[in-house]
Order: sequence, then structure tokens, then C-alpha cells
Amino acid sequence: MADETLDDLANAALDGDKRALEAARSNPDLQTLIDEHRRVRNVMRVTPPAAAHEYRQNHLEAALAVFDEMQLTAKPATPSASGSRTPEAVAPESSASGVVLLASKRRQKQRWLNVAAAAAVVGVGAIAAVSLTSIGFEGGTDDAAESSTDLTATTAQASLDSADAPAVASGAAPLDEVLEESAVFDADSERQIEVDDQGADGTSLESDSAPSSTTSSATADTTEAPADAAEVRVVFPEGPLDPRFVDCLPDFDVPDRPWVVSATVSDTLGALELLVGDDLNTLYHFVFDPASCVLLAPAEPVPDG
Amino acid sequence: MKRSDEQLVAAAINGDRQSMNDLLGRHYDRIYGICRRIAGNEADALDATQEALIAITRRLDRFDGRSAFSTWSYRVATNACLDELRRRKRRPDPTDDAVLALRLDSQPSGAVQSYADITADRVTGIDSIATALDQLDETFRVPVVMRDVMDLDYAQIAVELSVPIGTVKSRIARGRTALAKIIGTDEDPPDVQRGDHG
Repeated sequence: MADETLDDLANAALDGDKRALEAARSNPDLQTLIDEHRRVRNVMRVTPPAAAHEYRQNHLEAALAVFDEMQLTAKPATPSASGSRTPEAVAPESSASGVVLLASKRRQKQRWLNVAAAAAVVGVGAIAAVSLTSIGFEGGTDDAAESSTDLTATTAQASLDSADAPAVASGAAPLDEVLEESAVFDADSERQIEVDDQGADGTSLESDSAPSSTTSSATADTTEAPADAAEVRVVFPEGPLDPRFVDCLPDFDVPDRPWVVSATVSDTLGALELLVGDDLNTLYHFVFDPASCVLLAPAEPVPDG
Repeated sequence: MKRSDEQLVAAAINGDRQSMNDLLGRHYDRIYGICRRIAGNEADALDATQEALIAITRRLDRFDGRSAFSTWSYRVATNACLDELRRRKRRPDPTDDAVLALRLDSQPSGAVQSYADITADRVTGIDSIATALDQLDETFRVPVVMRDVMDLDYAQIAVELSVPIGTVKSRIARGRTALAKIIGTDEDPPDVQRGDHG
């Protein structure tokens, strides 16, 4: 018992507890124990022997390979054929401070949202194309592509009064951008789906460029369509949850590296419903607004079975 | 002129590969050191370090500059190490005869340590404490390292490990006591060695 008390006091002293430090002055045994604890701590703080040079090189190269991959994914940010997009990579204000970093992060998030929105529109178009084929529609490659484009536009317009919708419906250039940007995701074998940055009231968030706002509107088409067609369920391939979604999840309840099991965009709530699992196979269920990162339902683990 | 971490981060976010390389290289040893202490052996530490560097690269745009880059990156590294430990739990323990023989020769009770670890630690001159730390079960080693090496407070550790703060305090106290007793060798270490934490 006395031994436990000494240990407790020694631990308290290590954390700077003045009472414990006072007690040590009149108790040589305690002082010895504290000294021993301190010695251990000091040695622990000595950096261990460095990793072998070859490991260091391999590790750095692997990280840089990931970095290169990320840069390739970010390439669509360069000016498009219409020349209306601001290249983010050379944003003049993104040179130093933390404030600049936040701004850069925000723009990057906006870009991802736009690209993901475009991917969602293309997905609806693809489904429509398959549907047309199954009911006997025949035509050449170009005709089929045009038909799917038209159907995408029709679905979109039927569900929205947005002024931007015609730009998606009739403009060949925006659709080309959509296809171009969605190809980026295909290259990564990573399917993405998000709803736009616009709330139900149609309030737009700031956007760097006209094409961006166009694709955002297109997403609204997808997510707010009638119930029989609007719910889009995407089963992601096994992999880590995209960091942008991790940003939205509450820190206290999220494993460091959640793995996506499924993601569903709800047409009624404009919400993103995620089922993610961690390395210990615990499932978590989240429903949140992807634009604001506000949870719409309590995050909760999913019982086994 | 040497650029600050913040300058390197900003440049790396804007796509400057050399800045990313410099940033990771500058913090590599410390990140590896944290992983080495948390993982408790060389092989897992190397795996964890790799994961940590990739995680830092992937999440760099989430670094908001409110804390020092070093602080942020070490937290990311810690999480990568914890991930590695979780993965390791699902793998079978090493049963190599040579490792077991070394373990039995060098310690009175069951600590698992690789030959490479033992050799490396003997060379460093701080072997006794480093080896003792490696012998602690990770249940106790990880919070001790987070507290005494990384200077995280109890509340932060509780969040990182997803355990109550009282549990953190208890594990740290028991881990410290065990370390002191292993090194003191005046009695058998308490039940906080690998595989004995119940």
C-alpha cells in the first residue's frame, strides 16, 4: 500500500504536482523514485537511432510519389478551353501565412465539390443511356452519346427551376468539361459523389469561376430530382474515406482512417449518408450536409450483425 | 536561406515538389523516432513511418497553420503508428525460435523483441531504458510515450486512444512504474509486459 502511494506520488511529481514535489523533500525514498522516473523519461526523449539511409530514401520517395499523384489529380484546375477558369496553382496570395492556407484549402474544397458534382451528373447520364438501350433504342456511338446527354438534361430540368440548368442541358462545352473532369476520378479508381454547395434555398456559395457554378447547379439537378430517380447510391471501392469527408465527421467518434462501406445522397434531406468502418471492423453511420459539414443526425456506431 | 516550415508548406500545397521533399526530410528523424517509441520495434516503426509520411502528404492541405507544422505532423504520425499497431494486432505474433531464445536469455519474463532491436539498442548506449520501453505492452507504452515523449496532456491522449481520461492516467502511472522497476531490476516487473496486460 505504501509502495503504491509512493508510485502515485512519483507519477504526480512527474506531472508537476507541487504537493508531490514537496513530499519528496522529506522522503528520500520518494525522491529516489522520482529521480528514477525522470531518468527514464529523459532517456525516452532522446531520439532513437535514425532509420537506415535506404529506408529513409524509400519512405521519402513513396511519399513524393503520392504527392505527384495528387498533383496530377489537381491538373484540371488549369484553364479550360473557354479560358474562364483561374489556375489555382499560381494563386498569388497562396505564398505563406496560415490565413492563406485556409483560403487555399477552401478553394481546393470548392474545386473538389465541383468535380464530384460533374461526376454525379455523368453517372445519371450513364444510367439513362443504359435505360434507353434496354428499351430498344438504337443508334451510332455519337447518337447514343447525344441521347444520354439529352436525357441527363431532361432529368435535370424536370427537377429544378435553376437558371443554370439550361447551361448544362444545351451547352456542349460544359458537358465536355464534365466528361474531362470525371475522367480524373476514373484514373484514380475512386468514385466520388457529393451534393452541391447550394442550400435548398438556392443560395450560392462563392465560386472562383463561371464553369464551377455551372457544375454546382448540375449537382443540384441530381440530388433534388423526384424521389423515384433522385436517390443515387454509390458503393465505393474499398479504400480510405476521402479526407474532405473526414473533415465533416466528428473527431471524437471517428477512427483515424475510416473506410467507406457505402455512401448515399438523400434527395429529401440534401444529405450525405455515410457508412464507414474502421480497421477494427466497427461501422459508423453519419448523416451530414456535405456543404456545411453539419451533422443532421447523431453519429453512432452500427451494431454488429 | 533556409525556409521556414510554413513557407515550405505553402509552396508544397501549391505543387512544389522540392518543398514537399524538404519538409518531409526535415522532420523525418523525429517522425521516425516517435514511431519507433510507439511501435516498440524496428520493423513496425518503419512501416508506421512510411504510413505517416504518406498521411502527412495527403493531408497537408488540411493543415491550417493554427499550430506549428511539427506539432501537427507528429500528431498525424502518432495516428499512423496507432493504425499500424491495430493492424499488427490482427497478425500472428512472431514465434521465431531465435527471437524467443534471445528473449528468454535477456529477460526474466516474456517480452518479445526482435534480434535487430536488441542489437541496435545495445549499440546505442541507452539500451537498458530503450529496451525496457520496448518490452512494455503497447497498452502502457503508447500512453507513456505520448505523455513523456510527446508532451501531450491526459485529455489529448484520451481522445487519441479513445479511452477515458482515468484509464489514461492509470496506464501511464503503471507504465512508468513498470519501466522504473524493469530498469531497477530489484524485483520482477509488474504485469504490464507484452501479452500480460489482461
